[in-house]
Amino acid sequence: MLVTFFRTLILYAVIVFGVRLMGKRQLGELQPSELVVTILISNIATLPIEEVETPLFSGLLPILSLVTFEVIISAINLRSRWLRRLFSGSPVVVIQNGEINQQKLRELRFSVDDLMIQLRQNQIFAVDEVDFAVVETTGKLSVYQKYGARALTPKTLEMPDQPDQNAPPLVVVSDGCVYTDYLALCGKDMAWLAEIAASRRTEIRDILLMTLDRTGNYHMVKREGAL
Amino acid sequence: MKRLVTAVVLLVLIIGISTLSLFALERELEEICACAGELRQAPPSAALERDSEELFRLWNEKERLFVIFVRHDVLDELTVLMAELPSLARHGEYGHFYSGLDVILARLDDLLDSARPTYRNLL
Repeated sequence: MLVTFFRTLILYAVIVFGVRLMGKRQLGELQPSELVVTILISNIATLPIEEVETPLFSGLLPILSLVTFEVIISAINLRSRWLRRLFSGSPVVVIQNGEINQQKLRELRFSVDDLMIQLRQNQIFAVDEVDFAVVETTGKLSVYQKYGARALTPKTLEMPDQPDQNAPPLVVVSDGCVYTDYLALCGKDMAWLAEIAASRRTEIRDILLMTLDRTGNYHMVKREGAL
Repeated sequence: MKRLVTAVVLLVLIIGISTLSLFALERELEEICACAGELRQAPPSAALERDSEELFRLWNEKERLFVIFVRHDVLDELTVLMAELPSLARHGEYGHFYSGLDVILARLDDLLDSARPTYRNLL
């Protein structure tokens, strides 16, 4: 049992290293080759864990090989459009000028139900609101709505720009730890933070979460149990 | 760029280690095969017990390397076969002794073959 435990620990560390080396991607937005690598790694990793007879090397070698292939192929893909098309394919326009391209849907083996599911996931419930829709190489549908169906924006209403509202609030304190870089980005410093904490009768280490924007508006959540 | 360099270095290391391990495995297996082969050729005599103990000792020594690359159940099987030999020689059961050696040689050959990246192994 101890052998299984240590093998699991080693494989876990190697897989985390491998995934970090491949870079951050959200599941569901993986390119085909990345999806293949992810599935393969998860299957390969279980073999040395389940079967103690299998040398650990037999699991580590294919995992690390797959990771290195993926990184190298990705790097080459960046420089070669042809290779990018070969590995990942090309985006396909399935709705153009409000018309569904049924031929393209058939080629993609995309049913109408699949199309409607993806549209609803984009918060669109009527096909006639869509001007363009593109199936990306990750399989996700990107939608460009018709003018009349788009959400109102300040620009549409010809409202003046408010530069202060352009930057989002940043997390400046998380679990008692201060992110001084983000504090500086918002034009504040530790002295200001200490003053705010004191005004709220709390210590900085007792702050669970604090966000701050450029206009100085902040939101603070204290730890449970803190005074 | 850092990721790419790390990946390339890792790939070179993997290929290097795999190639070196293949050579090491081949060298050690061939040594064991040679020893087992000599024993197979030797006529029934009192020296067989001593020589088979020597083969078993050599196997135990090499097994420390093999355990990194070869399935442990395959190694265990060979260990059991080799462990039997001194006893068979001591009790004069030469028929079983030599057939045991044949099995050992066949298994070692198989092990050697499966480690090489040949057309048959790849398919």
